[in-house]
Amino acid sequence: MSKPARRVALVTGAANGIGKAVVVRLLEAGYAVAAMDRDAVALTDHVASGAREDVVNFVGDAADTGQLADAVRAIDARFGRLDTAIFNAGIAGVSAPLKDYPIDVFDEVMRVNVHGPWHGIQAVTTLMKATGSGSIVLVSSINGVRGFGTFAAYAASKHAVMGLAKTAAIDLARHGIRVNSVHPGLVNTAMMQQVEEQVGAPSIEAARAQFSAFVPLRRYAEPHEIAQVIAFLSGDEASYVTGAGYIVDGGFTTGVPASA
Amino acid sequence: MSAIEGSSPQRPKVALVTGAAGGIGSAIVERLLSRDMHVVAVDSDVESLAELKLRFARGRPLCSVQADVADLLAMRGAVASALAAFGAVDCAVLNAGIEGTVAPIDEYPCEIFAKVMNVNVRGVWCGLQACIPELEKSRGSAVIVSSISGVMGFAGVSAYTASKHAVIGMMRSVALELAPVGVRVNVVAPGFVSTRMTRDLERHLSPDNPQAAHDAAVSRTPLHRYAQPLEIAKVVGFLLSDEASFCAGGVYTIDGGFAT
Repeated sequence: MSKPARRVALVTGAANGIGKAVVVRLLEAGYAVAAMDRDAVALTDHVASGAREDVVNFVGDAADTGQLADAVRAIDARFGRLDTAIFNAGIAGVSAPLKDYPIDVFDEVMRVNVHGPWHGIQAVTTLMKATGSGSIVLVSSINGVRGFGTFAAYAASKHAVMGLAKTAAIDLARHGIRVNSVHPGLVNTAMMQQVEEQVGAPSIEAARAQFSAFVPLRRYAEPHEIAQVIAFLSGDEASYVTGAGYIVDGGFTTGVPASA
Repeated sequence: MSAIEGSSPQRPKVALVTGAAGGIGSAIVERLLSRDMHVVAVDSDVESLAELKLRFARGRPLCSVQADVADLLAMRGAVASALAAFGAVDCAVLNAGIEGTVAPIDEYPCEIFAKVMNVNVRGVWCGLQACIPELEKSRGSAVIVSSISGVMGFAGVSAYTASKHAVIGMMRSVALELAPVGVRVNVVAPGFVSTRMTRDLERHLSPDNPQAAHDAAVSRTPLHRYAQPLEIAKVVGFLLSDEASFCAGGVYTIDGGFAT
């Protein structure tokens, strides 16, 4: 059992990309971390996993109520508290015009990206209510505030996440639980690479160059740059921040960048 | 009556309206009929559809189809009925929606959340998938009925808020996909409207004194009253018409200033 003062975080989609960076960042900040992911191999291969007493891995589906409940029970047993939950697990779906978009892929995108955080919030609030405080961060996307052609399922799901964060912030304020959403732009991750492969550019590099031209900072984010903002929102530095959508996009959604 | 560019100039426009028997839906049907459009009324409730036909159908170009909007095959069937009755679908109004219940997110029943997402999000998705091929042929227009809950949060309605945010995301993507072929897609976001749904919400919010919930909503609305359904229908009619020829990808609030 850890020292009672150690803060405890749950991170879903923890094995790769932004989630992995969040785990690293929170461990640096002294949290104990419960890392959940469907990908057992990537999760056990994690830089932060292994024999550390401040990390516990859950191989499971972060949209499954039963598996979420198991994870929260195990967190309670191991650490006795939960201070912050980062619902980051998400999938991009495919790139297709809505007209031709496979409805089973639409259903899976909504299940993972929307039903996941919904069940996640319900699973963690009991434990957070016990301490009378907590912070929940939902990882949305700039697709939660803007549309992009051929990703209608993803856009619908990420807009829904923002709506979920706002209402949850209002509903859970009475328990001292803050809820916010983070909206990353283009990030150097495997998921973004899947998107780059699907948009019909001659190469991934070409797709990247094409996308970066829309970003005033003229580059992708590295995952740790998103993790820093998530860690900030998770902690007491953000004690008055709730119901907010923090955009972390290098200026992408601000307007039209000056031509290169 | 306005002609449709690129099709036979004398043909009346044909509109498919979902949730056509409800408060806002029936006002939309009435409005579009009064603008000499042909209307295909889709609703899941056979009895309400029959009442709608009694109210409006005498000598009017109205055909009704009983269908569950979240059933893609049923929606394709509704479009087939529209083609059989009137030969085209120029306009789609994706209006069907349910409010769910009122409870803080930590106590909200999962099955009601799933039902709200199914009707309000998957229903719009299926309606769009079914209608888009015809809208492309006629270079038509679609309007999705969201809510001010699509742009802000309200206590106790997390499922509804997530769903109404989601359809704005869906619209933003599909508007970009269809703009190049001349199909305009927009969202209307009504505030408090005098309908059965709003009365039910008032009862959920304040079971002992629904009037108190009504008065609170009125007092927070800058125009100090609820909208009549026709006031929403007028904006929908405008967005479908050629008067709105440069309106694409927009979110049009009709809320008496509530979200301002």
